[in-house]
Amino acid sequence: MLSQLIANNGFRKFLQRLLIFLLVLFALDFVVGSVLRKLYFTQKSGADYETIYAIEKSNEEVMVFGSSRARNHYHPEAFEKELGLSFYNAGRNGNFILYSNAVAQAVLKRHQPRIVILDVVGHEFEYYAPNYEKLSVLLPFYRNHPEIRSTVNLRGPFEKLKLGFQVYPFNSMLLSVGLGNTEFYNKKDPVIKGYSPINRELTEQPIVDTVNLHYEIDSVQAKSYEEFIIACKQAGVQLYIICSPYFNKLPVRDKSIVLAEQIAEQHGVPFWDHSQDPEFSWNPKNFYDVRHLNEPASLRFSKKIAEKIKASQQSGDTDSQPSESGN
Amino acid sequence: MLFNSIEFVFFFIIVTSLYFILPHKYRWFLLLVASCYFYMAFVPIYILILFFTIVIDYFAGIWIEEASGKKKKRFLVLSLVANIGVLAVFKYYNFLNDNLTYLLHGAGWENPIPYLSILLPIGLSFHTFQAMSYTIEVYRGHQKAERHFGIYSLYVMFYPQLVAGPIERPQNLLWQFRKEHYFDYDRVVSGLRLMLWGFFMKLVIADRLAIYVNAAYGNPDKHDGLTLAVATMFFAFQIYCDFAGYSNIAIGAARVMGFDLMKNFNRPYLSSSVSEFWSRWHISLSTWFKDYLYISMGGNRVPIPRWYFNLFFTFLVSGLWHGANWTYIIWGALNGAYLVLALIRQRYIDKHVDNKIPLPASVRKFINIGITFVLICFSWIFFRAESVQDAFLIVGKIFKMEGQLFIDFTQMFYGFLGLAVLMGREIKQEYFKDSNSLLESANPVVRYATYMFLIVMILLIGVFDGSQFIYFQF
Repeated sequence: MLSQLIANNGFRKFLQRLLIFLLVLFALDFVVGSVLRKLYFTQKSGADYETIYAIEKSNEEVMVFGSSRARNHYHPEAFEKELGLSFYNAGRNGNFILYSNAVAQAVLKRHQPRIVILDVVGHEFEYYAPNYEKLSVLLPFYRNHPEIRSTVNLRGPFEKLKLGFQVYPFNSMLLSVGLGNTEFYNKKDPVIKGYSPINRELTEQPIVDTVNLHYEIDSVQAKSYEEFIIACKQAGVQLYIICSPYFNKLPVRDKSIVLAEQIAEQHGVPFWDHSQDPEFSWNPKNFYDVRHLNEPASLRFSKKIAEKIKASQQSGDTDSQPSESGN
Repeated sequence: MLFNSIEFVFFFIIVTSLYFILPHKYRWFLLLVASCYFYMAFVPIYILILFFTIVIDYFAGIWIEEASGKKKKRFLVLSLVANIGVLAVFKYYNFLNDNLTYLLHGAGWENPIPYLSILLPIGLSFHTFQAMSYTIEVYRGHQKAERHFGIYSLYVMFYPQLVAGPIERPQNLLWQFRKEHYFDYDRVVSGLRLMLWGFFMKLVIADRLAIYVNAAYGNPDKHDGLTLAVATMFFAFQIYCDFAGYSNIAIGAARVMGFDLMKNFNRPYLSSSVSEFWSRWHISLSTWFKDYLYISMGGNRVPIPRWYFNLFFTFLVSGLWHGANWTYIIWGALNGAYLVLALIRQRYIDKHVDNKIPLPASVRKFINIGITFVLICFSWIFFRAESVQDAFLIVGKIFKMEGQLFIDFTQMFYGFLGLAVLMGREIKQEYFKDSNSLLESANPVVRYATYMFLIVMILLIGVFDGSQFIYFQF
């Protein structure tokens, strides 16, 4: 039957045209992909620009990693003034430990900051599919940054195959890359060295998050967290792991935070839990929503953390310092 | 296995290649094994449910053909009870139990009947309806009973339409498994083209709009009326592109191998009445209900009140077919009510009023399309809402039209881009029938450029997180 199929004129015509079609398609993909790559890395504003800066250009002495809470809670002014060191906030909205670890691995290969702060959140290690899907923001770096590949491959078993298309890393980025090549995002939401200031207060009665304490720990994300710690230690970076304030009063400590603290302790890394810090939590004037501090509060919080870091550095060996609550 | 997955691309290439390589006499076996594999990629154990209904319906078909009189009817009832019984247990048991609990609770009693913790088998309503159409057609004498167990199994399990239709009739599909198909260039290209358009509908439009829709419908209490109205309009296109996209991939995949499956959608949102909409939307299900329920109840050959009841009841059952939830029942009832009201209007109002409004036919048609779209969108609120309470909350907010529009610029930009391509193609096909659309253009440069454009659009703005097709749950 195979011989019959090969002898079929229609089949031969199909194969010939398919071959030509695929060649043209790959050529088109290469051209469009190359143009997008060029435009992607020339961005001047926006979240992608900040990731490019963190991975490829950052050379600051203090760096912050984490999610939107990191991005909104660690104010450069306080750290620069208190510690006398340059500062960059590499937090990114909607991205958690998998993203932070990948970016940190890429940064540490090129540059070793003196101090790294990792902001962890409640439910940090809960399995949540979007945490993996959102790693797509790292796809443009896959080609030139082998250190992020193992993390990006967590998106699925066929990621390498999809990356055979040059356009794929820029999936859903057409608009953001276009706008990122202008000052659009800087004008819309000004950013100071990666820090995003928000000047609003909780005015209405906040809808307090319902806290699900019964979830399974995702070992992949927990392992990624440990890799982050190990990479910082191996690079000789002084690492501080912090859980910054929440508005909510939590009935018990979140199990991700408990686990994060245990792992930090095992590695002798300071872990400061400020999630229920009475100086900030439960006061609507400090927050713009239940999870994020506003600018004045974040400045005060950053000052408090910077002073704590200064004190811990002055007191000597921070590696042996026990974990502590922020209260 | 999901059509919008890399696994399916490999599966399709391997199965189609083997299909043309293998001698005709082994092809049914290849397709059956492939279909089992395709189905078992979801929840493997549920293949046993399929096997159960296949065995019952296979023997019921033969017994119906061989029996006569009351005995014949008894075998048909056996088949229908088995199929509806499986549906009742897996799809409706907990819903009925829920309602019983609610009623008993109202009377101050506890419900002693336990809940079943089971997952709904994927596409259960589709393949049970296809199986039932077989025994009914054998009973009616329109179809000979299939004696080849493998071929009959394939009729129920044929992978392209196994989990979300089109719901085929035995007269259209069974004989095609016996026909030897040769590699036909035009047919293969036409099938692949349809698949490409299906992928575009699903990945670029449906899954993109879903992001906005899910955000709004997931928290209707936190969104304003304008946002919910836009989300409802988006949902209308989301569900269309999701389901018609699936149908196109299914029909295209079957066509590549030489099989003709029935058309399932025919540009439904260009309908100028609700009745026309239902002749263009999910055609295989609408005709199923028409052939086996509506006509069996007497159709329109009964006194007028009974005719209206038949129509309304058919849509009520159609709502229940979609899901074990009051939201679906209300959705079905709404559509039934639209049709009954349209009949009443035609009978008692139109001849007195309609012609007195001096409007050009094209303007009248345009207005009717708009009104139909709004009515259908209104019914989609109940289809999409998580609960009846949510649905009424959304309706209330939309009618108030207060507050601000939630603008997710990125999703809206990509969504409108995809919708522009969709509407351009559909308007061309609907109103400019004298020439082909770009995808079927006689000019090969235009045709191939359109293929490239669609593929690059899929790669650039398609959503690749492997989301499920909405109709799988039914």
